[in-house]
Amino acid sequence: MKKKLFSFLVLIGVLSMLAACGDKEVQPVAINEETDTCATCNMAVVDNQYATQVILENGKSLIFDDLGCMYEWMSENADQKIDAEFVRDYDNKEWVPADDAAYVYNQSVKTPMAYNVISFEQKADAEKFVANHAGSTLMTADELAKHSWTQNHEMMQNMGEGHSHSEDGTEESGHDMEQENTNH
Amino acid sequence: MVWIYSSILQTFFTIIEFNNKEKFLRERGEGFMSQLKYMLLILVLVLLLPRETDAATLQSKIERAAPGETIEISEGIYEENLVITKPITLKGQGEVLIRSCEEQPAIMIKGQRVSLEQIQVEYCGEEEEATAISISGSKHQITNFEIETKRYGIRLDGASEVNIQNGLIIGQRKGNGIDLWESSHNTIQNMKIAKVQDGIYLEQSHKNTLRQNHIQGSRYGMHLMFADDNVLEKNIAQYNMTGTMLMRVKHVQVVGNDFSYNRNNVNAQGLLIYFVENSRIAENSLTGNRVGIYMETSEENVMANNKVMDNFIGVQFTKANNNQLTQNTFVGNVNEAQAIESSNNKIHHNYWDASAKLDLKGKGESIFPFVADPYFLTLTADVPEFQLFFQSPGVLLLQKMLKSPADQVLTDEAPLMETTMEVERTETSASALWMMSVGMMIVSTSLFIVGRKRV
Repeated sequence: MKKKLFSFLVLIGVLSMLAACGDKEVQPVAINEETDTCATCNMAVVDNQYATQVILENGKSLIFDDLGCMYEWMSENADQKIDAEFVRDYDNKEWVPADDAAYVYNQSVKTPMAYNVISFEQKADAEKFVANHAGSTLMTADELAKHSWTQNHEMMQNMGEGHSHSEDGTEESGHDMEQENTNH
Repeated sequence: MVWIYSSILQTFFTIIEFNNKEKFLRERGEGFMSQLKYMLLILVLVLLLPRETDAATLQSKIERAAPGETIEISEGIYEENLVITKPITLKGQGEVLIRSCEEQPAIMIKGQRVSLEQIQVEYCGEEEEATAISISGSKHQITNFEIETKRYGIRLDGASEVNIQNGLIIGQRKGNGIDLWESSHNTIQNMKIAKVQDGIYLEQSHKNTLRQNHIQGSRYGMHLMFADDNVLEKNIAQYNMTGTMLMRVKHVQVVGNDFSYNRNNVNAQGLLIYFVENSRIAENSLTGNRVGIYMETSEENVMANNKVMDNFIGVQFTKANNNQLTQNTFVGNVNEAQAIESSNNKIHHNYWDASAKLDLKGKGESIFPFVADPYFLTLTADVPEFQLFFQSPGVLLLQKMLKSPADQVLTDEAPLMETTMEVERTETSASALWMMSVGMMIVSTSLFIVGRKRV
């Protein structure tokens, strides 16, 4: 009897190990404030609610200090194979798959690179934030993909006029504005 | 004091009660008169007594002061949170310490022309945005002060023409030393700042002057974001994660600064330039950093007469186009220059000590162009572990075989024969080397002699 129970336990153990092997769900990597810098803007990443990350299919993880930096990286590196994207819940700082999160754009929320978009795990929490903060726009992940990612200062400085920085490092900086517009 | 006040009040209340009873008995006019008398007395008490009890607090002195007045604060420790909204001067006599752990700042300055002199602040508020001193308004003067803070040192929000100088700020790396938000035309000079997040942080703040400040042991020495037309002059930012960060700025002058020994972090550099346009980086000293100057996605900047010495990488360009790099001196860097995806940069008349030089025309220029191949950098970008193969013969051979395209290579067509400035080479290392070799020779010969004798 004892033997049977033992072999049963071993079987369960082996099965669960196998199950774990088959479990391909990608997990977010913890942020190391000492060494992690934003893959777009080079700034040191603080382990806070604004940090985001992309995990590539080759297992490499890229950390960003601002949601906007992540989207900028994705539009510049469209050829890279992305396995998963994670954002943070604004309130409890838990990692959330980017597609499942709810987003709020509010110009008066100061994010590290001034893209002013924050993320929530629960839509209800996002709605609560919108209700409490005037000037907020609620967005789903799909709507966020179409977001223009204008940085706060540009809104104020270049009302209407185009900015001429070269996002993709090509020589024809004059055309970048048009490129950007079509990208987003 | 409080009990005296309450007992006096109590007696007056009993008198009033008595008076009320009296009112029924006496004629109307008389009762009213005596009532008025008591009311006046109480009024006087209410107005005077609290003043007397609070006479010692600084805030009450501030409130009583007329505009333009100078309040001399006598030596001592004051556990208070001050709010100053009118043009007065607060001057410490001897050691004056304002201490606070409240959520609001220890000193809040608003309005115009407030002066603080000779004051020390010890602030231990722990909120994320907490600051020892907060400043808005204009034309304030903060001089000869010391701040010890758990979060921010000084925050300027919508402030202009403020002069902050001759101060010391020590933090706990949890907030910025001096933080400017939408604050322009301010001057910050002769400050010593240590152990903060960013020494001086500017966001959406323009036309400020940062001069002769000394920042160390912090994350970034000076950090500018969306901040145009600022001047950074003769500052020293050493032993930080990064000396200075310029991010998304235009028309900034970075002249005569010393960004050195910023190397204790894998991402350290003397000066980081990201999305910067039309700025001038000149006459700076960048010594002993991991990377001297790192520039990314930046255009139309001029880098001239900088001394780039003893760094792991002297200058590194990524997607940086149409910049000018001239009259700089590169000495003793493991890797003088690297560039990835950068083109149309005007690089000429720099001194590169590692390159072969030959002057045929007597113009002080070498006929051999200086060339920096980005091969190794491209190789290590995706797999940092390949850094182990730095200078390994195989990699050097591969680099020669798989030549990078010409437009990817950083080239100085006319390198200089001589340095553009005096470079103090450390002679000590050479003499130490001599001493060591002589010593070793003596030891080995004596061992040799002793060994022979025994046989």
